[in-house]
Amino acid sequence: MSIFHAMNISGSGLTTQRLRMDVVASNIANAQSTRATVNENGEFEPYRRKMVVMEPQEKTFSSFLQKAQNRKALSGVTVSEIVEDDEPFKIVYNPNHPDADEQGYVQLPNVDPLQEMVDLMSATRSYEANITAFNASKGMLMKALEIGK
Amino acid sequence: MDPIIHSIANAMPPQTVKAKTTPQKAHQSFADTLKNAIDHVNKTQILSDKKTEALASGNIDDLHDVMITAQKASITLETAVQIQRKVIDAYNEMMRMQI
Repeated sequence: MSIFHAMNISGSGLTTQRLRMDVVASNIANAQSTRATVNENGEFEPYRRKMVVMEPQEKTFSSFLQKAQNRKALSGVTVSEIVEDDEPFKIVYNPNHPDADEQGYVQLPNVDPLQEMVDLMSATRSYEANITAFNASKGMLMKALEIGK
Repeated sequence: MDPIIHSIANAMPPQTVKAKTTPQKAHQSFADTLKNAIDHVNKTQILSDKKTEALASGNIDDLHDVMITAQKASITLETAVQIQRKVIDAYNEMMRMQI
């Protein structure tokens, strides 16, 4: 339904930003998790920071149809994958920790709380921006209904 | 195109009614298109109700999805109300006509 197209696009943005928020929440919650996975040597590995990768929603039937009709396809957004950050883990000296190595160092997740806060704010603002766009398109439709009143 | 607007546009073709169309046929086709349009409005309301129910029972996890569906239903209903207002206005205009 083309009059609701803008709303559907804003909806996809909202879904994506919410998922981004989930990922940030997971990163913040696991900022101290030292036992996320078990590596091939049977040792615990700390949590790795997760990131979302977004792409335009171009693999849907309607966008292929629009392309076939030589029309510029306007598409929403979708998350293509959630990747892990390859940055090295933080090393902290704490010999009493159960996961400390022989020298007494513990590997902590490569999560930077400051960066996560920035991502969190960015996700919140983007969510608000999508809602503003949604309300604007609703406002346009409601104004159109006032024609000739 | 929005089915409701489309079907209403179909219901009122400007001066293209064929000479062979009997009043009864025209009446029937108008009634059908009106019924289809109202059915569509009803469907959006039912969908919105279902999503609200699913949200309340915890089967849905996208709050904004529910809100968007509710907004779509409200806009469709508002469109239907406006069209109905226009039709009744036109009818009243006809009834006021001096013979």
